[in-house]
Amino acid sequence: MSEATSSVTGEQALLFDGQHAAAEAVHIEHDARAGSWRIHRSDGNFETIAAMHVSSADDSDRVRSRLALSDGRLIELAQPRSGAWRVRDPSRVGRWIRERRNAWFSAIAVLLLPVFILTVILPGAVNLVAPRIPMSFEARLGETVLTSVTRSTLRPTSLPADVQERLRQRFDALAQAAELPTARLLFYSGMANAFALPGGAVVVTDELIGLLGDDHYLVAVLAHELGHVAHRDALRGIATHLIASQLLTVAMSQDELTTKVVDLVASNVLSAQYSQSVERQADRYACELLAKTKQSPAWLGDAFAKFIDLGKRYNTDLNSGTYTSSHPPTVERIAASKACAEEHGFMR
Amino acid sequence: MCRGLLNRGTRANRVAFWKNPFEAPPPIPRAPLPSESAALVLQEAERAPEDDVDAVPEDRRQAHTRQRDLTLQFTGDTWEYFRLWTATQALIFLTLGLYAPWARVRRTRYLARHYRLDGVGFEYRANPWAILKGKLFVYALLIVGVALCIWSPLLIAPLVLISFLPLAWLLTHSFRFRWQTFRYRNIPFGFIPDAMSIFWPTVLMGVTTAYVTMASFGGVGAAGGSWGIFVGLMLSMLLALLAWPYVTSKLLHHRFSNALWGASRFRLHCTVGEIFNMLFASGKAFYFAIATIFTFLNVLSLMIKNIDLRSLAQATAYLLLTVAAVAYGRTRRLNYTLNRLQIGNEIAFVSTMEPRHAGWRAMRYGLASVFTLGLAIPWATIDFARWRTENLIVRLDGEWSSFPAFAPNAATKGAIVDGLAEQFGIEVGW
Repeated sequence: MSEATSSVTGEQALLFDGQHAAAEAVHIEHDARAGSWRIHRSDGNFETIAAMHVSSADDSDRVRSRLALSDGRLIELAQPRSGAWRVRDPSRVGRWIRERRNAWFSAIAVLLLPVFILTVILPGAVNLVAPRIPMSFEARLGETVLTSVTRSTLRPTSLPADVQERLRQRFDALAQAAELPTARLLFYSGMANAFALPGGAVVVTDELIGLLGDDHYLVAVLAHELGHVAHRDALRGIATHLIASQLLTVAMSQDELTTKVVDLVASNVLSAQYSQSVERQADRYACELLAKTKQSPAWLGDAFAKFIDLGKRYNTDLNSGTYTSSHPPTVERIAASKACAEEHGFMR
Repeated sequence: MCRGLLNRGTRANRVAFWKNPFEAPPPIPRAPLPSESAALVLQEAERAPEDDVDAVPEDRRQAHTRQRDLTLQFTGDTWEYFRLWTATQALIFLTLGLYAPWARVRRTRYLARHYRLDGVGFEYRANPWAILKGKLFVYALLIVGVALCIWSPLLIAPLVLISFLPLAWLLTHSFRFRWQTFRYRNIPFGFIPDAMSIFWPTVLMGVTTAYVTMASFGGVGAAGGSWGIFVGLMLSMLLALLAWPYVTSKLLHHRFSNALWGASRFRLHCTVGEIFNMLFASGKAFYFAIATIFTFLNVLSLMIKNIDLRSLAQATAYLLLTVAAVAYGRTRRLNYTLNRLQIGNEIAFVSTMEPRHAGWRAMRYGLASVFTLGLAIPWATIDFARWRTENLIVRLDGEWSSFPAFAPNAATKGAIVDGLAEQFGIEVGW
C-alpha cells in the first residue's frame, strides 16, 4: 500500500509501565481508519489497543504527544505530532482555547473584562444586595468599624459642649430634612476629616471644624456625609471591597509574586475610580439637600476650596488625583457645586 | 552543622557563588560544560569567599564517578503559553472565577510537560471539579466567618486563633495534594503528612496574629492602655521578622523532607534551624540597601505634588523593592535547600540560581506585568522557568529502573484542604 493511501502511521515512543521509572523503547502505530493503536514491544510482541482506551490532553504543539492508557501505562511519542496522532481534546472549551485566532480576542477580553466586572457588574450586584441587608446588621458593622478607627487613628474630642450642641442641632435639622432617622453626629480628634460609617454615624474631627472655621462650610460637608448615609455607601464600599478582593484573588490564584502585584495595582486603581463616582453622587446629594433646606450649595464648593489650602500645607495638589485618588479633583467638585447653586438660584 | 551527602564537608571548604551585592559576583561554581575544563571551574570557585552559607557544598561541586548530570530543559514557548494563559484568563473573568480550577490545571499541565528531565517531561494530573468544590467550601466558610466578626467584633481575635489551630493539618494535607498531582516517568510524587511536627510553630503564629488583631480592634488597648498597643506593635514586628520566616522555613523543610517519588523518600540534609539561620547569616547589606532605598524614595515622593504621580512613584518603589527583597530571600533559601536535598540515594541537586539576579528578574517581571496590565505574566512565567532550569543541575547515581512505584492514593484527595490552606496566604515558595 502506498504512503499516500495508507491510514497507518508509525512512530518511535517510550512506554512507562507505572511500575518503575525505567522506560521501554517501543514502536507505536496508529490506524486512523480503525481508530486503534498498536504497540510493538522490544521483545517482538505487539498489542492492539482500541481508541476508547487511549486519552490525551495536550495544550501544546511543541511538546511530545502522550497517550494515557486506561490500565495506567503512559506512552510518550518521540516527536510532537499533529493530525491523526493527536487525540482530539474532548472538551469544547479545550478546543476553543487551542484555536490560535482566539488569542488576541482573549487578550482584549483580559484587559477589558476586569474593568467591566469591577465597574459595572460588581457595583450593580452590590446595589441590588445592599438595600436588602437589615439596618440592625449595618449598625453593628458600623460599631465594629468605629471601634477599630477610634483605637487606631482617633482620640476623644476636646470641643466645648456648647459648640458640639450647636453643630449637632444643625446636623439634626439636615438629617430630618433628608428623612434619615438613624443619622447621628460624633465628634473626635484626629487628622482633619469627616466620614460616614455604616449604620448612619457621621464622624467629624475637631481639626476639620477648626480648618473650615465657619459653621456654613461644616454644614455643607455634613450634607455630603449624609449623602453617603442615604446611599449606604459605607456598607456598599465594604461589600464591594470584600467581593472585589476575593474575585481578584480567584482570578489571579497563582502562587507567582507577579500576579499578586498586578492584583494589588488593579484593585487600587479600580477602587479609586469606584470611590470617585460615589463621591460625585454624595456631592450631588449634598447640593440638593442644601438647596432643599434653603442653604446655598455653593458653601460646599467654598469648603472644598479650604481643602486646597490644606493640601498645599502637605505639598499635595488635590486637583491631580484623576486615576488614583479616592476623591475627584477638587476644582471639578467646586465647579459642580457652583453650577448646582446657580441651578437652584443661589448665585444670582 | 549540615551533614554532607557523600563526603562530609565543612563550611570552610564549601564554594561560595555569591557574596557582596555591591560588587560583581564571582562566577557561579558549576559542573564543567563539555567544552570547558574542570580546572577552570575550580579556579573560579577558589576566588569565592569562604565560610559562606550560600555556598554549594563541597560534595556537590562536581559529579563523582558513578554520577551523571541529567539534561534539564524548559521547552515551553512564550507565544504558545501566552495563548493558553489569555484564553483561560478570559474564561476566568467571563465565569466570575468559576473556571479558575480548570485554568490552573491547564496552565500547570503545560508548564509541567515542558520541564524535561533526561528527555522526559513531567505530568500534572488534578481534578478541577475537586478544586472547585474546595474553593466553594472555603468561600462558604469565609462568609460565615465575616458575618460572625461583624456581628460581634469580640469574636475576631478568638476566630483568628481558632482558625490557626487546624492550620498544621491543613498545610500538611495541602502539601500532600500538591505533590500527588505531579508525576515523572509515570511515577507519582507523594507526601507523608506529619501535622504534629509543624503544630506548635503554626499555633505560635496564630497567637501572635490574634494578639495583633485584638490590638487593632481595641481589646488589648482597652485592657492594657498604651502598653497594650506597644506590646501589639512589638509582636507585629516579631511576627514579621522572626515568626513568619521561622514558620515558612519549617514548612519548607517539612514540604521537602516528607515528600516521596514513588517508593523513594526525599532526604533533606539540614535542619529547620539551619534554614532559618541562613536567612540572617548573610545578605544583611542587601536588605539594608533595600530598606534605605525604600525610605529614601518614599521621602523623595513626598516632594511630588501631583497625587497620581506620587502614587505611581510610591507604588513603583514598593513594588520593585518588595518583590526584589522577597525574590532574593526565597532564592537564597531555595538554593540552600536544594543543595542539601536528595531523592533516595540516587538523585542529588545543585542549584546555582543567583539571588541578586532573581531580585532583578522579579523587579523586571513586576514592572512589565503592571505596565501591560497583566499581559506580560505569561512571558515572565516562561522566562523564569527557563532561567530556573539553566541554573539547576540534577545528578543521577544509578539507573531509572532502581526507582519503583509506590501505590499512592487518589490525586484529588485534599482539594478542599488545599483551598483552605491557600486562604492563609502562606507561600513557602520553592
